[in-house]
Amino acid sequence: MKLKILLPPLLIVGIIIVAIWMVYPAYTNGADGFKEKRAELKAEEEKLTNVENKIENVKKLSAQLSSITDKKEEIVSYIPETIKEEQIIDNVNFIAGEEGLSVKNISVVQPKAKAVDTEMTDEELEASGLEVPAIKKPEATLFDVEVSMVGNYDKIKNFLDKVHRFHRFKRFDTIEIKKYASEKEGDTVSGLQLDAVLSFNFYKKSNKPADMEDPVFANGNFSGLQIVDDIKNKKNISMLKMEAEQAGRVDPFSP
Amino acid sequence: MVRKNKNMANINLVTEPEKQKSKIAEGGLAIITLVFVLIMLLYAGLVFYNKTLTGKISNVKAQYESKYQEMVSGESTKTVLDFNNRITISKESLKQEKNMVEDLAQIEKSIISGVFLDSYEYDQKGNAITLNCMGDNYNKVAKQIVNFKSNEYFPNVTSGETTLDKEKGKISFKIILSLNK
Repeated sequence: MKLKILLPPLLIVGIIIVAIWMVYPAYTNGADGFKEKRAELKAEEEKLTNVENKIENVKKLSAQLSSITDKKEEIVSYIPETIKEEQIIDNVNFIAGEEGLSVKNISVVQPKAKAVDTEMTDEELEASGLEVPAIKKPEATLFDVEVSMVGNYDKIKNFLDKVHRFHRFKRFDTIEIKKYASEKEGDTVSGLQLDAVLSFNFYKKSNKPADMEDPVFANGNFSGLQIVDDIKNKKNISMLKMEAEQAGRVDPFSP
Repeated sequence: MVRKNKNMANINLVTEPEKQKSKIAEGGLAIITLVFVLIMLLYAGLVFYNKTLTGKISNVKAQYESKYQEMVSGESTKTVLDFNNRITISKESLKQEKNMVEDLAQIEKSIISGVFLDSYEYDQKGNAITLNCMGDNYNKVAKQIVNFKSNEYFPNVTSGETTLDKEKGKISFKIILSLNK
């Protein structure tokens, strides 16, 4: 009889205790409760869907890339994968020769390697409290080419125009045109001397894992392909292709 | 007889509410017990489902990790990204390219008779051209400066040092032409 009287209040107390101390924390505790786990699962599923969509987009982009090999070649010719200095020397020399300029110098200054990598890693950046860039902008490696030649004004002008129009990026950093008179005896070349420093570039294909957050993976289409046509229209002088010559000499020192 | 009836009524009055109270109490206890059991079942359900969710999360995470690696390390991903990076670089690069002949053509247009160039210097960083000119006289020097200033292609024209070249009988003068960006 006493048990019958005590049982209901005990059960009510038990219900309250179980609800407050066990059921509610099992439902939500701010860390690994049912509610949090469900939210985590939803977030993980979204991440998975996101990466699956991006893989699909990569497949579409790869297929598109296979169908526009000519455009790919145009782009790789404009921004090559390697320095290809021999191509520059050959082409600058060819254009100068075509215009009847007397070449005094064509020198390629190799890009300087960084002595110490001063760039912080993403973790270091985060720890420093500085803003972490969302996507690193791709950067090509620039290097200088110094040219020096002699000829008349029209020839120099034509040379500058043709160099501007050949199918590889270049920027004139400095140009100096001045009167030239040879001091050497018997040298009949006179007129103007052109000294110029040009910047060329190349972009090496990265072997690092790709940045999944890059906007290109957000849709299955390359945007900005118009640039290929712009390059084609503005750069209508094709680069000469270099082929290795037959080689092999018994005495490499003999002239 | 009346007394007997009275006794009968007394018995009835006492026993009926007692039974009802007992039934209500038993019913109440059953409900409370049921609620307690349901709460316990709910707890057990939550614990069980939580474990299932943990398993599902691990499974989805493993799938994600595998797909992520497939994505970021895949050769086709790198090729696609490389091509897109080249497009981005090309856009920037093409903007930086400039046909120097246009500058020369504008100078040709602005040079007056009695003045000729001794040297031409272009500096991309300063976005300016420095000309060393030779003029027949100071009037020509002044007119040449005016002519450059009247050419909209050069937003800023600054004159520099002027010297008399006695050997050539000419005035040597410097002009700095700023260029539009």
